[in-house]
Amino acid sequence: MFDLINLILTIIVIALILGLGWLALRDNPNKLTNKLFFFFSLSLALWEFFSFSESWTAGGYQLMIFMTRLDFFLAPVVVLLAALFVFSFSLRYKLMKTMIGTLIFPTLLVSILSFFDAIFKDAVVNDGQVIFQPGPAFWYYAGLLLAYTLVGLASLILKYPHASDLKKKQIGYIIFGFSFSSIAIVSINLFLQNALSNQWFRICNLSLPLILSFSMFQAIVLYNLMNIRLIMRRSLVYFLVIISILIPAGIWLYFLKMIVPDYLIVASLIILALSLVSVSKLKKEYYYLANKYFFSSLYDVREIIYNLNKALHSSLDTKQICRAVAVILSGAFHPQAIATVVYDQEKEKWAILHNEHFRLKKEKEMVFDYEILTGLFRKNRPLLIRTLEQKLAASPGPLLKYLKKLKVEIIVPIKTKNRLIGLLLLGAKEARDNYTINDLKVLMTVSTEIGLAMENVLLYQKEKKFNYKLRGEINKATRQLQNQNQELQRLDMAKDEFVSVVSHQLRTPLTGIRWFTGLLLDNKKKNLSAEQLDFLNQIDTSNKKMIQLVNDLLDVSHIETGYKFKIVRKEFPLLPLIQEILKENVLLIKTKELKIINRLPQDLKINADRDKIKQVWQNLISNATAYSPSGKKIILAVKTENQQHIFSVQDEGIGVPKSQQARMFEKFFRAKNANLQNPNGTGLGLYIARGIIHGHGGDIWFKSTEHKGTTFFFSVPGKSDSARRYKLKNQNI
Amino acid sequence: MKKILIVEDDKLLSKALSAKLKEEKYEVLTAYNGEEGLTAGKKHKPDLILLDLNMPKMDGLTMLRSMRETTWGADTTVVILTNSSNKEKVSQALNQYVFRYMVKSDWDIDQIAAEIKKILG
Repeated sequence: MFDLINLILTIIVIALILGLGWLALRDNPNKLTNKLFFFFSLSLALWEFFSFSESWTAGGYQLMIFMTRLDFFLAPVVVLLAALFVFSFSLRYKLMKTMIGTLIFPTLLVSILSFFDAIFKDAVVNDGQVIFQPGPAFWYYAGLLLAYTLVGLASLILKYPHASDLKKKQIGYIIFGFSFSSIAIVSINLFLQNALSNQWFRICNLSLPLILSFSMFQAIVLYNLMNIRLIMRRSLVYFLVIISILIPAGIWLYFLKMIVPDYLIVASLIILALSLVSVSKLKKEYYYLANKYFFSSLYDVREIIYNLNKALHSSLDTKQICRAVAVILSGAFHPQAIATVVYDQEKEKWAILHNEHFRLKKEKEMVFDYEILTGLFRKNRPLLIRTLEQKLAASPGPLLKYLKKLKVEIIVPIKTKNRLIGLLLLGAKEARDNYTINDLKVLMTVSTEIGLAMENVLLYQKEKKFNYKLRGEINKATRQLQNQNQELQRLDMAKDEFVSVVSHQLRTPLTGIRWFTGLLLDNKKKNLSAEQLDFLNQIDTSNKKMIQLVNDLLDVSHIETGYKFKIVRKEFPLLPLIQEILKENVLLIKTKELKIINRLPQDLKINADRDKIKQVWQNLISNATAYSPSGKKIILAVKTENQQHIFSVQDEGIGVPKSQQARMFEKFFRAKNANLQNPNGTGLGLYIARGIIHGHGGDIWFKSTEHKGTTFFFSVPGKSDSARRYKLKNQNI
Repeated sequence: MKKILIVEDDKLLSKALSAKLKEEKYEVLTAYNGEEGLTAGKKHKPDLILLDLNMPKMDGLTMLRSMRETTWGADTTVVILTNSSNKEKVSQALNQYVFRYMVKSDWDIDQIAAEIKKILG
């Protein structure tokens, strides 16, 4: 009977130890500490089995001896793994690896020696008690095991004062478990085996390893991983609930069966009903107990801040940030509920960014009075509901009532540059502890950090929104410009078409007048009087002026629209062109007795648009003749500079007043003195001449002194590729 | 006697030109659009054609292209006499071996007669 109980207990202990090892490995399979703990658990479980078997006398003498030898074989391995596990807290990883390499072989050597009489000689069963006889090398063996244990313990104690908060807690657990249980286990197994009764030996060997294993597990898992704790908490609670319902129910049923065997079914149903009723109450109580045990308020402040920083800087999404903050703070404080709400100042509304377990159903139902809250959180300090109650004692409004209804325990402001933008709400702790001063300090730091992160996000969003808006505006403006441009192009073409049609329509009747006047002027029948001929000449002159005006307007239109003002270059001799012009102006030159001095070389050829260049010369020569007093000189010349001809037309005429020189090339501009001298000019000649010269890629300019004369210069680059299309729009006139 | 065909839609201008050219002892034929010009050209095989560009029914350029495909008109001397200053049309006309391009309003009727005399010798 006892053997059976022992067996069941051993199996339970082995299962627990293996379970802890497995949980630790699952927690973090890559961490050396967790791996070592897993192997330690494995060896400990195995050792437990051998340790139980060796005292199980029913198996016979041979089996007992073999099991004892296995016990001795495994013990150094267990102790080594325990020591290495301990070292993993105090030593650096590299040193750890060296340690494993150095210790593993001597340990295995000692283990193998257990199969010989040197360590363990024999055991005899005396009155149910196993008497164990050590070999000659036993004390060395015992010494080694004890040494491993003590060195491990010493390394932990040395490490303890320098460790961080979290590590301190972990090390504390191990020191507790290790110093107490491992020394106990080693001592009992090595020295007290013969002194203790079999049963006590078994109890010690079952309970002490479990304590050791659990304290080690506590150290690595409980203070690191949330979800394992949650699973364990839930499992534990349900397990306890079931046990506490089943046991009393069983006892009650047992008694009821004896007292009222006839109504057993009714009684059973009543018990079942009572059990079901008590489930929720029991669950709540056990949760409380479990929380108390599993969720203590201990946390590593530095780790929280570090994780928080990492979370806050890894995202530009407010919801993601709030979720991360909630996870981190839940890990530290284990509040029953946590939520983040933000205030939209434009809409004057609160919005939920993240909520776990608060009954914040509808956003419009939220009655966080922004004015009051801004006043409360002038300092960037989290407030407990109690403090808030005191502060608002004079005027307990709906805010306090609402916060109480929500079961908010602590309110953390989220501020950017003195402006409250949101609230972080925390419920009471699961463990029902109060929030401590330290918690408030941590939350204050958290508040600042979140504020900064939120500010970044808001700035980013603002910028993004602005960029988006800007892009929209730009697109709109571009579309407008495109439409306008199209409209302008259309208008431009319409204008061009108009000008060309009008000029064509004007030219035809003007040609009619010109030709019929010409026919009349021929005076073939000699029947026209001198006066009539004179009148006809007047008609002809006026008509020709009109034709010139139409031509000039057409040229201006072409210059301004650009695309019809094409320069067609061809090489031609210049002199014949000049002679044509002089011939056309011969009448005026003769009447005024002007002296034309032509210094242009005989063989000069230029590469340009002949018709257009002729227009330029025509304009300059006719200007020179028109504005020169009688008997003056007009000099036509050329000089070559930088492979470019610069032509000049110099006169001794009336000159251009200095004040008007700047406007000489403007469309329709006429200098005052020129207007007096020749009121019929259109003011288009120089404008057109400049358009033509610019069209050739050249330039035109003049020097003038009033009453003394004017010299016009213009250049015509020889190569067509240097020509640029002339557009008035670029000329700023 | 040399034959000159005037293809001109404006009757007034056509009248002035033919009056002048008849004075100068040419045989003058007139047509008022490209179609008529082609018919007259084929029938009379003129020595010179004075061709306007903007005309109803068939414009000068179309007529010019068509006549350059015919036996009678392939080599006939053509002087464009127009008031259009559309450079594109002008350059297209010049591609069809036009002898001269003259803007009507820029020339006295005497000058035109003188030019024709020069061309026909």
